[in-house]
Amino acid sequence: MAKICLICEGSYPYVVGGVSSWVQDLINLNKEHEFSILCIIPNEEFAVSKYDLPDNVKEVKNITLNPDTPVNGFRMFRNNYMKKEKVKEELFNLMNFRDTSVEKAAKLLESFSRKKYGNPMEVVVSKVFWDPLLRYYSENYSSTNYNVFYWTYRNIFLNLIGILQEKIPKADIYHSVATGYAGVIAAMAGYRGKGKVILTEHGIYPREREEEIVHAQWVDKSFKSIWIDFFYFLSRITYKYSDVVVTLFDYNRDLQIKNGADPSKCLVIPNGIDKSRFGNLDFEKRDTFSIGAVLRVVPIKDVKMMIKGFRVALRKLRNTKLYLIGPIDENPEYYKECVQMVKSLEMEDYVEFTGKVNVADYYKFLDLLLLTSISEGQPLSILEGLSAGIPFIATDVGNCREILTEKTEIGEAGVIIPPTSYVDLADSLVKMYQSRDRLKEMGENGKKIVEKYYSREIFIEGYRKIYRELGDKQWQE
Amino acid sequence: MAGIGFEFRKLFSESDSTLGDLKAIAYSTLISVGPWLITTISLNFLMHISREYIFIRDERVLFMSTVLYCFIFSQLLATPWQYVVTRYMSDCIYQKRSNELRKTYIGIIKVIIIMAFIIGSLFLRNSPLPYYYKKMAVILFTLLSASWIGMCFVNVLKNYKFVAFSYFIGNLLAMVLGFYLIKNPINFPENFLATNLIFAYAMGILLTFLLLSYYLLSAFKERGGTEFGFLKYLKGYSSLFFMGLFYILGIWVHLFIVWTKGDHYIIAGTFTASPFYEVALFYAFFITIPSMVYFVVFLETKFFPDYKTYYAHISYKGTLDDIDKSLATMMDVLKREMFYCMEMQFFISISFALLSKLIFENYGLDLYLLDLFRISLFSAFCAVFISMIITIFLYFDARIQALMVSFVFFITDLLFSLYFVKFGNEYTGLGFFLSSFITLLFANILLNRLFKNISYTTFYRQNFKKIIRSPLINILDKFLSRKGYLPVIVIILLSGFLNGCSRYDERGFNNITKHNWHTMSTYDFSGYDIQGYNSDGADKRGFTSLGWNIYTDSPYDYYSFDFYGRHSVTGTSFDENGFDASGYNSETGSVYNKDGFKREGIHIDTGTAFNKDGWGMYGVNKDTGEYYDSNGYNIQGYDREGYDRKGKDAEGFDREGWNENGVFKYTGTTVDYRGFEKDGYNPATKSKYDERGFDFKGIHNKTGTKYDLLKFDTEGIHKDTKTEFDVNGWTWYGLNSDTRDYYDVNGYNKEGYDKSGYDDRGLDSDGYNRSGWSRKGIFKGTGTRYDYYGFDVRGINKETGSRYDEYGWNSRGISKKTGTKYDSLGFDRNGLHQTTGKNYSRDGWKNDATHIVTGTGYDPKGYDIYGYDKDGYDRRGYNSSGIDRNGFDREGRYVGE
Repeated sequence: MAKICLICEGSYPYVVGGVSSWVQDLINLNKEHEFSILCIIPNEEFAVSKYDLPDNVKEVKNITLNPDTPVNGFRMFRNNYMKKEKVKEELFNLMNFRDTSVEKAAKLLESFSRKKYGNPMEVVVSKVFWDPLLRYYSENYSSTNYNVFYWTYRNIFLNLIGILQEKIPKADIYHSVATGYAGVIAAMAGYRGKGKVILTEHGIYPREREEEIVHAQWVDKSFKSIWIDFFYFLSRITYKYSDVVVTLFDYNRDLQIKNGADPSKCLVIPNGIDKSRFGNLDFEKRDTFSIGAVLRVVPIKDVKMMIKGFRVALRKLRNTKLYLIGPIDENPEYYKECVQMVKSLEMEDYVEFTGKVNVADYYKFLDLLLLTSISEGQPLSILEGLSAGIPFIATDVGNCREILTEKTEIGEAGVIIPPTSYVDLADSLVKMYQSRDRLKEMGENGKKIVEKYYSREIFIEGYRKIYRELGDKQWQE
Repeated sequence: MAGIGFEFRKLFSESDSTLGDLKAIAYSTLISVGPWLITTISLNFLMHISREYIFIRDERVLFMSTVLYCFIFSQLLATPWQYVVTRYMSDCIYQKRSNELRKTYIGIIKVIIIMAFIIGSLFLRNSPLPYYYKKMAVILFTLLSASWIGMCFVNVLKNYKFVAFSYFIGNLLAMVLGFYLIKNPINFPENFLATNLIFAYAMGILLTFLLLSYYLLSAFKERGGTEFGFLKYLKGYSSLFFMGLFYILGIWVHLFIVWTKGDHYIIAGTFTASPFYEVALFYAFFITIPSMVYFVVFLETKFFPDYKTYYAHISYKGTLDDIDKSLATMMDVLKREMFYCMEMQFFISISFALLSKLIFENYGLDLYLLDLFRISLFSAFCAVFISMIITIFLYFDARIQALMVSFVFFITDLLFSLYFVKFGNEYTGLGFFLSSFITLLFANILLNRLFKNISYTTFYRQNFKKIIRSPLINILDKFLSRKGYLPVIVIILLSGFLNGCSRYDERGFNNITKHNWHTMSTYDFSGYDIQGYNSDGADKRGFTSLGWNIYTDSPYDYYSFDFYGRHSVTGTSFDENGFDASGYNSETGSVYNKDGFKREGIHIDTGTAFNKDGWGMYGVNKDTGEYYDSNGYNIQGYDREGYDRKGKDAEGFDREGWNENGVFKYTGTTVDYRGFEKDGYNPATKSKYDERGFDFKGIHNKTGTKYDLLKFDTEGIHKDTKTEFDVNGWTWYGLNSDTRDYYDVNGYNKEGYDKSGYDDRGLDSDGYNRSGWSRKGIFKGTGTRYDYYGFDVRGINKETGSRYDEYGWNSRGISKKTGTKYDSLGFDRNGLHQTTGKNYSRDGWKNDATHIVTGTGYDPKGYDIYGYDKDGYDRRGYNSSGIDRNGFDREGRYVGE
């Protein structure tokens, strides 16, 4: 038995989704280990648990961002009036996240995490931070808005130092489920020799953040690169100090290596589906052609594109209905917009938002499933749908193409379309509607694919092995 | 809030002339030290009249001491609160919580009044003064303290003019009432003159206080917040409270030490006085007025714009270079102007120090007082500049520095004064001087250090938002607030609690962490933070919290509204079309105006810039692109001349200018310009024609054309010349084009007659010449061939047939005998005398040689016109031959009878 600390960022157990379900499964399937969970969340109000915690979870600790720590006059005086040229130089080098050396950064961050220069606020409001910041600005950003520049770096360092100074649960293994803030906590724990470090990446964290930041209005154009470099820096430092780097599929493994992970540490362990859960459903096929999509109604799933594609196809479909299955309360505004869209396209009779329901009830009669996300890792919803024997039309994101079309010895289990293209979605919908035989064949293929490549057993065995080996290593040291 | 800076800048920039400068200086003086100046004047006035009327010196001294105590201690009481409350008010205004100001004012006034009343009563508890005098003094003390607070509130609103006005009116009342009461005193058993004066002065300050309060309560209409919310600031901003307290103590503590340990005496068993020192101090501070005035003007006109620029650069859009440059500019101006101000004040002070000897010797004043005055001059100089530097500190929120300076001021003043008081009278004032001088140096060092680090400090401070929680205040509130009953408090507490617990607002913001649920950042999806500002620091209208619009780079948004919603053109909260800053229309209460247009000009029904009839918001037609449609009618249905499809204009007048009631548009009466009614009847001539013979349509009754006999039309335009003048240069009514008169350059009018009525041949219109004769020899006056005197045109008299009449006059009135117009007796032909102009001479003779009195040929003494009596002798007794009655001639020779 090992003590494992799972480090989650804005997911388990407070947000429902793929990663959280994965964590829940992981804990449930490793009953012999003891788990503590470290959650990085934006604020305390966020901490409303959406999952029943398994018995082997011994502790849940939250770390909130934006710490508001009191400033001590003495330490401020020490930071401002004692010679601190060395740390200022090091901090100046760290501010260039793109080129900074990971080893030197880790050393500096370690000294911050020991509160050598006081609490996070004491660091960022002192001249230890101000002087190198001025220098870095003058050398690189002198034509930009200083106020925004200041706040950009101030927030980055306040949060970075803040999370590093938090007390973390004692464990043999620190298992982070993303890079980012969670990853850096795990990495620093490893750097300080507190335990072994595992990283499992579902998506590629800095790429997802990059996507967000490029489109975010709240980030000043001149400073987007700072944020992006910062997130890549977090990944680099996590890869560097992780003992094992796991991902769900090969493509992502390649990306990790490209971003600096050591290939010898990188493993692929796909998600696993318990075939008994949806594999033996009693089908109650209906006269109508039923299309489904299991998703949270949020922008990243591009529900609007799905509705539009369905609208275009609807002219050639008879007796068809689209079920949008999943929670609608996460982004009420987006949900409202979707409902409005359905209304204005006069599709109220053809589209139904079910809300949170038991998915199995729907898998019983659905003929086709859709996935139109702009970004995905290895979507559990695809694996679940396939295990229920339902074929997919999915956008070409994450691992979808591999699952649906590249297991050639079995055959195809669905159709891949380009992301955001509702015209292609409409075409595929019509084609699938018209060839029921092919639909059935694909359903069968899907079942086989899941059984062969994405079974629960492969998943369990993969992690069991890692935990055992690392646990042993940690004890030996 | 009127920016006083603008007004100053206007005054100083427009005034090229000396007079303009004087006006600007007078205005600056009035608003910067006005209240103080006015109070000084009125107190001196009261002292002066009391010297004239109150012969008991003790009474006067008692009055002055009481007033001095009230002033010093009310300042001590009010000043610390002023700083705290000013800060609270500024925060309220900045955070858009202005609705709390009313209750805050009421709250602080309650606190001050209660404190002043308790302190005053305790101080006078054991005094032997009569009870009514004590009560009066406590009331004056309380009112003064409250009025300082009122003044501070109005000053935050920058209405310095009103402050000066209130003090002027209040002190005027005090002076008038004081003057009246000295002449007609109320009879108090003891100290009745001093009591009367204190009463008068208290009434004056009461009026000032009421005026200030009236102004504030009418300015702050909203009743939000709590009355004692400002007390919270005692916790977070205690530095301000103590800064104010120490500074004002530093100003006065040396006097307290002189009162207790130096040269002093006790008045009425109550007040301590050191009159020499007090007088010296008073005049010393009086002389610093120029620098105070200059400082206020400098702050508002020169410093404040740079200060705003600096903070604008820091808060948004500035690069570090911009920030540093604007900081350098600001510091440069500050140092230069402070130095200039010091130079100027130093020159003034040194002049007074030198001149004072002459003045003192001239008036035979005590030379001990001279020394005191001189040293106090320089103490006051330093003290005033200390207060200026403290003000600058507060501008940069450097509260700790301000507190340090005021504390050093107080403590050095205390210690030095205690030390020097031991050495006797000669050293009085030295402690205060040393203290203020050292403190000024210290303040200057701190100021320089502050500026070295100011950008760092500003960013540093942005990291901390003061959250002051104080449960004690709520309890205080309960005790002090009249309506502060438990349920209310509970509800307030509960609502506060619920607010704290409520997690996310409808935009997804957490009100504690300021984080947005959807974006997990401090901004929502549209990029605005919880207070509605985006990362550029601008709200949805493009305004930063400093009131600058970054979209237009001006203080106004696209719709010309400023930060506070005032429109730049109309000066109200609505634009010309009645829309307010958020696009709501004042008439309809919706985002549409009464014609259904939004502020942007989009119509409610069509969703385009035109309504369904094709008209835009401002009346532009969709098809023609003009204000008129293809038929020539505008949005209201009027054509270019202003007439609708029925030919009526907006007031109901037709194209001819008549309305249904027969009223003419342009005259407002029932007749037109030419006097015709609507149906063509002319009421003046009672016919269809006017006095020139034209009818309603302008046709002349004689010619049957549009022109009269002289070819002028009804407008007075001549047919041939097409001007209002005919070929000879005359208008129809006889005005000459050259002379602009009724006569031409030769003096003849249109008809050819001169001003006397004669034409160029000398004949009048009836053919008579200037002498009155016609060509046929007929005389105009008589209508016959003879004139009034019976002469014909040739001059022949009809009676005598000769050129002379029977009396010897010819036709021109010349006497045949004398050849003149007068006969030998001096009468003309009409019988009027040459000298008197009447029908008798100076001696009373008429021309027929009868006397006017007697009616006979002899005067009352019996002599005729020639001087002879009835017997033929003159007055000497000789007859015409020169022989007297007895036969003697004038030589006395007898010649016989």
